[in-house]
Amino acid sequence: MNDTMTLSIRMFGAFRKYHQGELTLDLPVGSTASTVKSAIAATLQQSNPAFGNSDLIEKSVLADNHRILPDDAKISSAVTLAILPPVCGG
Amino acid sequence: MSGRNHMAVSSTPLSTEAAIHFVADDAHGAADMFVGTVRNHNLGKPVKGVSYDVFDELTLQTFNELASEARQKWGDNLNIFIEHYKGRLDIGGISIIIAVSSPHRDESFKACRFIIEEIKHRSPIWKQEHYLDGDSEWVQGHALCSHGPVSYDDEPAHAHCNH
Repeated sequence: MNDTMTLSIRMFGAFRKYHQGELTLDLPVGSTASTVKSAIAATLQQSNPAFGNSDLIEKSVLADNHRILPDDAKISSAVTLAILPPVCGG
Repeated sequence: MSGRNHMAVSSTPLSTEAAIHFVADDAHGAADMFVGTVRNHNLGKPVKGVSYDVFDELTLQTFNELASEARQKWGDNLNIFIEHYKGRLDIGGISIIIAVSSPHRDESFKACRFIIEEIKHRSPIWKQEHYLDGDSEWVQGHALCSHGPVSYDDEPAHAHCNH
């Protein structure tokens, strides 16, 4: 299956250092959240070599507007997701 | 009868008066309020301000979940007000207000403490500190977990993911 989907990824917190606005990714339909995270890391590292020195992606989770997605969640259509680094509200 | 909720992410100054007014209730003899403010130092560095970044949709959902969990623990009749600021604040600016009212004081105190500790671990909110020397840095925080609520062994400092 070679179908691809275009995902928009909203950046929050420390990710804003590495990319302004939403990040656009083309990935195979059915990619897992884990695959999407790896693709985000690869894309950010291309434009910001310093990103590779951080462990930010390992500590972050992918989410839609309703929930945090487990690493094995499959994404099967073009949607907007968000990458959420460790939080510190209050 | 279930208590009232007010949950918001706001870019206008937060009001302690609005919070206390919202939770006030003739049937309640206690109201407790937590007010978080911007401190002039962190980890030994002088701070001049903080910018708050918020994922509004999921943050409001976590606020609603926390209100439900607080009612399960301390009574369906709690009135609960939670507002978090989004944007830049100077020293002393109010970043968060939580107010809870209940018939007796014990429930308000406990629910208020529970809600602020959980927000720090579960709500998608981030701080960028601005230092006197001109630098800015995103503050390190708590990794989110996809498996649901964190839990505490009495002391909030000992939060852990159970999954």
